[in-house]
Amino acid sequence: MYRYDTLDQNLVDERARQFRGQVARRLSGELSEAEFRPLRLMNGLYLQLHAYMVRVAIPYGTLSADQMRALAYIARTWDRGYGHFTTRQNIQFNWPNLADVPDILDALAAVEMHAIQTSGNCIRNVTADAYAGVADDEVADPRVYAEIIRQWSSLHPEFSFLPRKFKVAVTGAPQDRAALRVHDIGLRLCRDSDGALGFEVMVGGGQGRTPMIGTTIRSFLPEADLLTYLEAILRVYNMLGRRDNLYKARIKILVHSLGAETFAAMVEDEWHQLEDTGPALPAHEIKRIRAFFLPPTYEDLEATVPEFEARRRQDTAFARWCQTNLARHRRSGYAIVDVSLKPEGGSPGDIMAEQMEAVADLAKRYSFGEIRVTHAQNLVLPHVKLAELSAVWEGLAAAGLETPNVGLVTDIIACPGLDFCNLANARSIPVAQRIIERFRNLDRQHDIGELRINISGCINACGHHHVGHIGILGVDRKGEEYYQITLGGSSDETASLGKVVGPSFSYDAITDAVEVIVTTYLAQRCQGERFLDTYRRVGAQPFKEDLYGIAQG
Amino acid sequence: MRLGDAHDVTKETEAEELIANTEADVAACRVVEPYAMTVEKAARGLKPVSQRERIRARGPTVPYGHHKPRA
Amino acid sequence: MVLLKGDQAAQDPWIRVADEDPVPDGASALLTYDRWRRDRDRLVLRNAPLGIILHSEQSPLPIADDLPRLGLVALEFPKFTDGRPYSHARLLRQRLGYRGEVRAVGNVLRDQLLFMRRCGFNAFELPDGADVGEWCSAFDEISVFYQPAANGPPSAMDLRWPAESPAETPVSVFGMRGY
Repeated sequence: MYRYDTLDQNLVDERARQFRGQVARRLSGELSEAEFRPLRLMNGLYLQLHAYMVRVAIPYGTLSADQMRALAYIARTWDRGYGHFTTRQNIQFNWPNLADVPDILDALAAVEMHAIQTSGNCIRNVTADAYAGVADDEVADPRVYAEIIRQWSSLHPEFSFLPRKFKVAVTGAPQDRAALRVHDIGLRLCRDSDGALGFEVMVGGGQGRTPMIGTTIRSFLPEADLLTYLEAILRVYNMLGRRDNLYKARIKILVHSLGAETFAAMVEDEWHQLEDTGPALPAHEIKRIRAFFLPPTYEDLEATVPEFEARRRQDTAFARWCQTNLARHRRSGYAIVDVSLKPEGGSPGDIMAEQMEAVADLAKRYSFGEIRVTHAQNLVLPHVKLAELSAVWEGLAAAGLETPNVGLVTDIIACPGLDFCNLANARSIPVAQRIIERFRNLDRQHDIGELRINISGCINACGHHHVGHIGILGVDRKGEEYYQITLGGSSDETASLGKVVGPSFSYDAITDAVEVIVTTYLAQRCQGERFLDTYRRVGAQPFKEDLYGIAQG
Repeated sequence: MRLGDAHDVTKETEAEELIANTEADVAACRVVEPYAMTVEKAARGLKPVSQRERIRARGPTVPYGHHKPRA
Repeated sequence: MVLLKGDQAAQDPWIRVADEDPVPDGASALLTYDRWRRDRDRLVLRNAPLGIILHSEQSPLPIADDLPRLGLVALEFPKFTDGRPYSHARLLRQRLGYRGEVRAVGNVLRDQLLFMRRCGFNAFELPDGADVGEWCSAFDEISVFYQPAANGPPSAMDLRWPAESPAETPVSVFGMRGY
């Protein structure tokens, strides 16, 4: 993991001190809410439906066990004993008092964390593949470059007042677990024909009111040019992005209106002119950062472990969990463990302080002290020995974290919705809970197979409904909550946007509608097809017929 | 401050007046960004018309942390 | 208006000339870009300092050739959220090599001064009654900068890799908190 040097630490400490002064000015009445708003928004502090909310950055979703313990401490001391992991690999605390926020920032700074640029029209916390460094299909570790981007983008003097927020995602693998095509910039590490490392650069993806799939504007960018190229993209956007209409201000609108080719040509032109004055990225700096992300000292282990295999044969519950919650590790004898935060009756992404501590303890004992946050609002223990999976599973079960549903129909991504959020039109969490309850039978979940349901409480799409295999969007109809369904979305390397299937459903009808869709899929599917495969083959028509009857279909 | 403590008025101008009267509380940081909401008179007092205001008044409808929602 | 130059209050010798008014003789005149374009042929013959004020949607690139004649380029922030002048300031300093005064005018906020200076602004129009000393303390709140800049102290990269050090060993000391 990256560790702060004195420079990194000074910046975060100074920033926390600066915000303490700003909060004091606000509490004394010297600053009005209107004057305070831009300042708090630069420190991840929102005013929500019931209280302030602090969004803490977890750069590229990587946490140490001690950082997780600090989050638990914050949850218990200044919040209501829990936290909420988001689709952007961040964590949110929903109930802090304004006067306590400076103490929260100090507690974060003490473990090399902060809330900088988790809100506002700036370059937001950079996200990455949650399996970075351990995935068996990886070309190179994206965390190295994500950290370089984190530093370059932190308090960037030129790009802190962009037309709109700006999100960058990085992956090092061909299989896209970071939703690159729905980010303002997506970067995929790859090698050219000489074996040199670089990036495929995608621009202009995004969700919200006008969802778009990003376009590749450069198929290979040498790694040394990463920062100057990013600077060129951001400068073109900063100068030309629309500022007259909030809903047309994202870079996707600029790329779309200019045409990707024209936009790319402008970026290339700006980039060539930036050669001398742009932010250099010398090889020795990449090497310095890479040293922080070297693999831990793995043991040489056999690929099969008899005790593990035996338990899998004998213990159905353990076998079930292994089937969905493990991923292939690049090292023989190790596994990647997904920890589901989607239990029945829970809120997607929520975790209690005691559970955070349990995960921290397990990480320390069994996973080199490392934890990841996924964009599906789950956690990951990235390096667990096969021989220790039993112990990890038992430890998770003791904390109520052994839900065996990763990637299944009940592994629902949902925003906080109207229960917490000021912007929402409808609730998301109780809809997720009802669907989870409806599909609680594990045999049935396994029969249905891989299926992503994404729920957003409003058009801002924090629940990424556009890229859910089944997307659910909350809308307001004369003060009543209604839900529109989209089908066929995907955020992986075959990214696609879901299409609206028909008229929306009431709060009480939405769970039945989801069940109809699943039943239709089961009737239509061919051998080995996932929901998305079937939908792409048969189209929306059979689903429309079953949902609305043939007459309206 | 609870909904039961609320003043209800029927005219837009009266609502504006109510908001204007909060100035001192805003200046003293006792209130942030006051606004008027539409309510109807129910048997047990005032009931906000929109779901958003009902949730704002009663709290989240789902459990969170150790907290369970009011029935 | 209070004028801040560097980190001190200063007298403002510049007279802002409305488009329809005559340009005063012998005084430092600050003109709009439109006025400059319209009367350029006459204005270049004038024997007193000239400055141009650019609105946030006006790039400085079209006045590149005129920069040697200009004593001041003022960049206007119509709202503090309009961040285009930051890019324009960097273009002036780093691409066009302009060495004269680059002044931030319009909706200038205390908590943005540091970003502005980093982008190459060296003068700032503060609102009436602004406490210059208090505003200047904003310059000292952050001392670490990850980005190379048009102005001010060296970046983190420069500090970690000073020119004379061998490329294998970064300079900064690790201040790890033992956890």
